Order: sequence, then C-alpha cells, then structure tokens
Amino acid sequence: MKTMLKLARTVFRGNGVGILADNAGRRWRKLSRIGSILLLIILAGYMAVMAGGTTLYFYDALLPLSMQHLIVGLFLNSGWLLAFFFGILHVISVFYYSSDVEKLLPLPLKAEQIIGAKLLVVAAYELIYLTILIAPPLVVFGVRSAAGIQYYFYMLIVLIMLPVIPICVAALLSMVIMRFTTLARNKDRFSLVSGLLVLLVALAVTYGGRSMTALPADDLAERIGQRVGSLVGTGTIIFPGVTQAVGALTESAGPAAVGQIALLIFISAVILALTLGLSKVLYFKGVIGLGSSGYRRKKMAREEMVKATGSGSAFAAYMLKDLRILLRTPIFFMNNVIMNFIWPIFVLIPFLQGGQDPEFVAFLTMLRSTLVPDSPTVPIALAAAFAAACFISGTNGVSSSALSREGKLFYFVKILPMSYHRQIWAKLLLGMALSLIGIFLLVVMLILLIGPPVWFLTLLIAIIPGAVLLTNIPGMLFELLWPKLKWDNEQKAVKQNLNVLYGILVGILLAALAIITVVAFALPLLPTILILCIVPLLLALGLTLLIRRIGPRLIDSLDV
Amino acid sequence: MLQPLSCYHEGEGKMITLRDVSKSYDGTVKAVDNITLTVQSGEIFGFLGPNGAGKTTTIKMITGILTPDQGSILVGGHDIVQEPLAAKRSFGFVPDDPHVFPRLKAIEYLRFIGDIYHVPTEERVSRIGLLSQRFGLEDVLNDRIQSYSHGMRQKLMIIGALLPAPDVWILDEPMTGLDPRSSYILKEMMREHADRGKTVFFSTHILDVAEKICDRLAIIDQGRIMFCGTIQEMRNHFSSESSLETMFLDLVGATTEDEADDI
Repeated sequence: MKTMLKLARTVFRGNGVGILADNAGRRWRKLSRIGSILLLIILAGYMAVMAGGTTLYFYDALLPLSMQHLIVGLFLNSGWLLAFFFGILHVISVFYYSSDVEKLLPLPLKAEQIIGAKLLVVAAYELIYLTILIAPPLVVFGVRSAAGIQYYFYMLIVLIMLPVIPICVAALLSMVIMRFTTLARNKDRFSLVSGLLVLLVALAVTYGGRSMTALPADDLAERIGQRVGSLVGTGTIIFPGVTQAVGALTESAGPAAVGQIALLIFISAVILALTLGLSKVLYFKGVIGLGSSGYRRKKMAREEMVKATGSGSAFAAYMLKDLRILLRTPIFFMNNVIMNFIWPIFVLIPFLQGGQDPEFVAFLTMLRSTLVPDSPTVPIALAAAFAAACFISGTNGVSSSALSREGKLFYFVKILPMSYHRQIWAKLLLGMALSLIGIFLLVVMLILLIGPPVWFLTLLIAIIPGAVLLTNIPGMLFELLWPKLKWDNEQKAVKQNLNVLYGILVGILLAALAIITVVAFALPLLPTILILCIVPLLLALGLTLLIRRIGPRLIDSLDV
Repeated sequence: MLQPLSCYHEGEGKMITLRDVSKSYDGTVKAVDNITLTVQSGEIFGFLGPNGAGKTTTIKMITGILTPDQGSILVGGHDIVQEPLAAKRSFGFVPDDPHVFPRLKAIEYLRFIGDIYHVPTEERVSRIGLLSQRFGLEDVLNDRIQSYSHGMRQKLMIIGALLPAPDVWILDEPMTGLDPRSSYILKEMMREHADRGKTVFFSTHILDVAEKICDRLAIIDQGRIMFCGTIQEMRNHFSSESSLETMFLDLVGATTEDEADDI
C-alpha cells in the first residue's frame, strides 16, 4: 500500500498536475505558483457559486411540488456521468499516454501496484472536479432542507465513493478499447478528439443551461419537475451506486441511510476488486508496444519528390514550419488555433437562442437603426468592436508562446542562417494571421446578424490592425524576456506559460481601456476613430522599434 | 601537471579559428578556459575529452548557439558574432541529441532546410535522393519524424546538415545511435569531404574512430586543451607506441590525479 501511494504521487507529478511555471528564477516561480493557485481558487469558486446558485433555483422551483429531493438525484447522476466521461479521457491519458509507462514496467513492482497507483491518480483528478461541482449543491440542499449533522457525514462518504464505480467502468472500457481496437492508439488523434469533445460538452452545458433557465414562467415548476424527474429516473437505473447514494442523502435522518451507505461501499468494493482483477489481464497486453508507431515505407517517386521539395522563400518556409507544428500538435491546436473560432461561436449562441424571440429581434432592429453617422451609439459600438478584437487576439496565445513552443528545439533559432529579427517577424505574422481569422469570423457574423452599413464596416475594419498589433507584439516581447524553453510536455509551453496569461491580460486591459475612454468621456466619432485607429498604430510602431532594438540581443543572451 | 596547449596554426586555409575563447555558465566555473585552435581545410579534426570536459560547449560556441565570454571564433573566414549569417551559411551542424521537429514529415523538414539555405530545387532533389539512399531513409521520407527511431533521426539530421553542401561539417558525437553500416558510410563521407579540400570538425567518445579517421585531434579536459596534433605527434610527445586509448587515459587521468592531490 505504501509503495502504491508513493507510486501514485510520482505518477501524479509526472502528469503535469503541478501548475508550476519555470519561466525565470526562483522568485518568479514562487510568484507564478501563488498566481496559479489564486487563479485556480477563483475559477473553482466561480464554478461552485454557479452550481450552488443553480441548486437554489431548482430547490425553490420544486419545493411547491415536494419534489426537491430530485435535486440530489440530478447532481449525483450528473456527477456519475461526468466522472465516467472524464474517467475515459483520464484513464487513457494516465494509463497509456503518460511517459512513465515504459519506465515503470521494468521496475520490480507488482501489477496491482502499478494499476492501483494509476487508478488513484485518476480518482484524485475526479475528486477535484466532483468536489467543485457536486459538493456545493449538496451543501446547499442540506442547509435548505435543514438536514442534520449525519447528512454531511454521509455526503462526505458519497463524494469519496461516487467516482469509484464510474472510474472502474471507464477503466475497463478503455482497456478493452486499447487492447482490441486501434481507435485510440494514435496519441495525437486521441488528444485532439478528446479535447474537441470536452469543448463540445462545455458548449452543450452552456447552451443547455440557458435553455433550462429560459423556460416560460407560468408552468416553470411543473416542467422542471417533469424534466428533472425523467432525467433522474433514467440515470438512477443506468448508473450503479447512484440509487444507494441518493437514498442515503434524501433519507439521511432515518436508519435506512446507514444500510444504503453500507450497500454503496459494498457495491463499489466489489466492482473495484473485479476491475483490478480484469486489469491485470487487459492492461499490460494493451500498453506494451504502444510507444512504437510504425511507418508506411513507401518510396517517393521523383515527381513526388520534386513537388514535395519545390523551393520557396525562406521567410514563408519558416512560417509554414511553425504553422504545421501549430496545426499538428493537439495541445497547440486546441489552445492557439481553435480559440480563434470559439469566441465567435459563443457570440452566436445568444443569437441562435433568441433568434425567434420578438424582443430580441426588436433589439437587433433598434441596434441597426442606431448605426447612423451622428448617433452617440456609434463610438461606443466601435469601442466595443475594438475591445472584442483585442480580447480575441489576446486569448489565442500564438505570439505569447511563440518561442516557448520551440522548447529544446530553440537551438534551431540560433543556428539557422536567418536573422533573429526576421525569425521574430515570421512568428509574429503567424500570430497576427490567426488573430485576424478569429476577428474576421466575428465581423462576418455581425454582417450576417446585424447587417451594419458599409461606412460602419469600413471603420470597423480600420480599427482591427491596431488591435491585432497591440496584442501580438507585447506577447512576443514577453516571450523574448521570459521564454519557457525547458519543458518535457507540450502542455507546459502554452497552458503553464505565464506569458500566455500576460497576453490575455493585455487583451482585456486594452479592451477595458478602449470602452472606458470612449464611454467616460462621451467621445464623438472623430476622436474615437483617432484613439482606436491611429493611437494603437503609433504605439505598435514604438513597440516594433523596441523589438527591433532588443529582440536579437535577447535571443542571443538565451543559453540553450 | 601537463600545461594546456595552444593549437594555433599560422598560414592560409584556416576554416575554423578559435582564439582565446572562454565560457562560464555561472560566472565561476569555466566550462571552456582560454581555448585557441585552428582547423585547416582538407582535414578531419577530432575533438576528444571525457564527459563534461567542454566539448559540447565549445561546439555550441562555434555554431553560434552560445556566445563566448571572451575571445573570437571564425568559421569559413567569418566571425560568428560579428557576421553570424555568413558564418552560419558556411557550416552544417549535427547536434549530439537529434532533436528535430517531430510533427513534420522528414521531407517537409528537408524542404524547410532547403528553403532556409536557398538550395536550388534540382540540387536539393538530387542530394536528398542520394543521401537518403546512402542512409537507407528513402522509403520513409514521407513519414512523420515522430515515428522515427533515435538512429533514423540522427541520419535525418545528418542529411539536413549536408543538404546545403556546406564547406565545414560540425558534428557533435555523430556516431551515437547509428548502426554499423551508417556509421561506416558517415566515416567514408567525412573522408571524401576532407579529400575535396573541405573541413570536418567532430567530437567523439569513440577513440578507435578518432584514431582511424582523424588527421589531427585535440584532447580537452576541464575546459582546456591538453593536447593538439596528429596521432604520431602524440606518440612522439609521450615517447611511446601506445594506442590512443592509453595515451588519452594518461592525459585525462593525469589531471584527475593532480586534482585528487589538491584535494
């Protein structure tokens, strides 16, 4: 057991869970650690408040029908489903794709120690998610229903036991998939598909959440009751263990709860033992040889070779190389490329939901009618557009991770016969091009949904270059000053890179500054254009000169 | 204790020149301590030394990856600090660890190198064909580099370094990971290159290889050159007919023993 716990700790660390950035010295590391933990607390707090708020909403809606106990079932079923869904992703990642597999197998460890340690790591991940998402609603339910102290005791046991069965089922399913199929044997493809799935789930939750709360007020309680009741009913039958967990919490005052808890623990233990037994047969046969991917062995014909090696400009070749890496590295693709398409979709959601609503249609018509040259709305609309452009451009993190993404291969920057200045600009232009794609998607959506006049569109397009330059150039400056070149996992180059966070903050800061300036001073159109169009370009020019002056020297000073 | 030697040759035909070069990482311990050496055209120059002797640091300074704290480095007649682009165009470099963009296909990587070094299409097609055939990679050029083994990546790095047909080859432990056949082919190519009046500078741990193919060699230890010259000069220096291995161990062992005495 002791060995297994030690092993679990090592595996947990090896999976990049520690949110530590080593962009610079010890002081920076300490600061970044504090910053990361604060950010995590804020995010967790936000999620907890959202989940708690939703519980209150449902509780009050279901109280008149005496169906408030359905809330417990709803959240426990959702928790089970989440633990199962994320369980598959985590099991494949921790059991098969973590770089420790080949190092652990030759060590004198028992099979159940390796499997047990890895299951513990997956359980730790799930517990973090479930505590954030399920604990607040259960606490709210307990407080609202004036439950006794035993309720909170049972709640703790339920929280710990709830992920056991879904993780076991997910582990067995994943092991069968990995043992007998080639579905997830390509790590890149799996990372990409799972990343997109998570994103889709997030979008579905956003969309679903809004449609749930957008129910008409007259039959609100009844319809919520029907929906929740049918969901809970189906879930409790399908998901083993949930019936007992729900029973224990909704009847916590009675003696039956003790029996339910004992039954939950018993079922979980049996399924866990079964999983451990089957894993010994399924896991090792599926994981051995996973790292060695084959190649096709097909000789290129001369014509193919000529086509594939045709010469082009060095600058274009450099950009193309970076673009290929961005598109083909799943973690870069998800964080740097997909981000450009996400925000326009988020903007689209309310339009899709409110499309038929007469009030919403009236609002759009009103918005369109205010876009006349003398209207005071125009400067605000332009500031809002500038703010949106800064936000989208700042969040893609292409420029603010441009050097970090090189990692160990940064030495190429130093040995290529191409000036550092040109290399910096090749990377910057790629960042700007991706920013422009995201912003133009938003513009296209505005044209389709609002149909602004041509003069407004011209002004809109005129403010975009400033927003793109002012977000990308500082991102590159951060990278030149504090590149995160030492990483063993691509995730660390973008997700644990403080420069990306700084880039996002610059985008938000510029967005806020633009809106506050225009609104607070009630600026007319001409000064607004000047501030949003000319000033950013002048600032960008200054930053460009600064990069020209210090960029090559900073790259030169980087020891690799 | 043996005194550090200078390895400087006056006269024409110098392809690599290091003059009074030093480098320290933390400002205290010198990884490279006042090295001076020249490598002539038409010669294979071996750079030998134990682990942590300063070989890779020296190579990193020659290739521009690191900037020396003092001294000057000329490659192909160009100062690597003052005229970096001209100097970098004159050499092809293979690092000790063949890290190369894993998500590119080999052919894409070679095209990238061809474009950066402005290699005309006809030349790059014929050189890629020839080199990939010699190293047995012609069937896997269209595959992603991440599917390659360590040795295959090493071969690809060598093909990439030689694609622009540079005058100077700088190879850091080039035989590591190569199968015997590829290792033999590379040694053959190094000889051919030097015989055409060009230069090969390489570091190695394999003393047999150094003994067989080097025209001259330098032995570096604790950042200082302990010997520089031909194998015969080394034998004369030691007044023995011993193998390079014995002389190498004598040289490096000597400093280690002195250090032990100091402690």
